[in-house]
Amino acid sequence: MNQDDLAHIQKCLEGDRNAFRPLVERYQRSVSITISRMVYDMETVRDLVQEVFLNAFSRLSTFDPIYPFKTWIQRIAVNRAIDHLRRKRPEMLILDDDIEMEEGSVRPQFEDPRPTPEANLVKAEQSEMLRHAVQNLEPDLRAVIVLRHFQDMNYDEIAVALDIPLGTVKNRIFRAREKLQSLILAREGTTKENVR
Amino acid sequence: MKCDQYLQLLDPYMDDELNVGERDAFEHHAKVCGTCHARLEDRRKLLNILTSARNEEWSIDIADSIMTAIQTMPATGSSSPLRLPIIIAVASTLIVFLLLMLFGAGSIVTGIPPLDILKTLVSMVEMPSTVQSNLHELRIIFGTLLGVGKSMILLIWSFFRSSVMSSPLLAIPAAGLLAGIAFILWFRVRFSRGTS
Ligand SMILES: [Zn+2]
Repeated sequence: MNQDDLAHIQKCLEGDRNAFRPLVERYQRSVSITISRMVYDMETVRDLVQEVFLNAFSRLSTFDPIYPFKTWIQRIAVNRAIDHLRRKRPEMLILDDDIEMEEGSVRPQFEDPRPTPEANLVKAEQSEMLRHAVQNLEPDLRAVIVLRHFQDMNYDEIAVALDIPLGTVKNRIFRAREKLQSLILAREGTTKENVR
Repeated sequence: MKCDQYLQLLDPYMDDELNVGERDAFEHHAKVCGTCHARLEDRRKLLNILTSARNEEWSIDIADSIMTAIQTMPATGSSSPLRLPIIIAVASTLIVFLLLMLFGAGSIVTGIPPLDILKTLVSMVEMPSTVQSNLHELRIIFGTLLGVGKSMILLIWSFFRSSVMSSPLLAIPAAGLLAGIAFILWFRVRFSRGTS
C-alpha cells in the first residue's frame, strides 16, 4: 500500500475534501485507460471517469487498506464500464469505425519518437484490428484483457480487482485470448482476400 | 504432458505465472508437439499486438472538474448515499403503523369499526355541523389516541429530531407528523371546552 495514498484517504475521511485531488491526479490516467479500453466510446469516457472518482470519494470509508488504492479504483472503474456496456443496446456495442474525439478529451498518441511511415501504418492497422476484436468480447472477458494488458496486473491482482477466484481469472484470460486470436486472424484473412 | 494440459498452461506460461517445474514441462511439450508449438507462436503474435497497443499514450486531465463536483457534493460526509431513502422508508412505515394502531385502539374502545372512524372524521371535516352529534365518541377516541400514542409520538419525535439535523429533506414528513399531532391537540382542547 502506498503510504502517501493512505495519508490522503485518511485526510478525506476526516473531512478534508481537497486531499482527494492528489489521488485523482495520480490515478486519472490509469482509470481513463481502463474506461476507454472497456467502452471505446470517447464521448462517454470523460463522464465515466468522473463518475468513477465521485463514486470512489463517496465510498471512501469502505476502502480496505490491505489492498492498494490502485486495485480498488480499478475495480470501481471496471464495474462502472461493465454497467455502462450492459445498459447500452446490444447493437450499440459495436461502434462505427470512426471514433470521434472531442477537443481536450482522451486521445491516444504514439510514444515511439521516430516511427517510419510503414511502421506507423502497420501499427495503425493492428491497433484498429485489436480495437474491433476487443469490442466483440463480452464485458467480463474484456475486463481481464484490459487489466492484464493495459494495467499490467498479474493474475492475483486481477482476482482481487474483479473479486473472482484465481481459476476464473485463468479461464477468462484463456477464453478472451482465444476469441481475440480468432477474430484477428479472421480479419487478417479477409484483408488479404480483399487485396487479391 | 498431453495437449489439453498444455493448453491450460499456455496463458500462465506467457504471463510468467508458472513454477519452474511446470515451465520446463511446458517447454518440453512445445518442442516435441508441432500443433502446440504453432499454438504458442499464434499466442505470441497476439500478445505482441496487445503489447504494442499498450504503448499508445493516453492523456487526460479532469482533476479540476472532479474536484469541483466533489466540493459541491451534499455534506453527508462518509455516510452512504442510501441512508436518506432508508430513513424516509422507515419513517413512513412508522407513521402508517402509528395511524393503524391509533385507529385500532380507538375502534376497540368505542366498538366502532376503524373505517367508520375515518369516515366520521372525513364527514366532520366536510360538514363541521355533525361534530356535535358525534362528540361523545370523538372524545373517547381521541382520549385513547393521545394516551396510547403519546409514548410513540415522543419516540418518533426524538428519532426525527436527530435525523432532521443531518438531512433537511426529512423536515417534510416530520412537519407533517407534527401538524397531525397539533391538529389532534387543538381538536381536543377546542371541543372538550365546548361541552364541559
Ligand atoms: Zn501438443
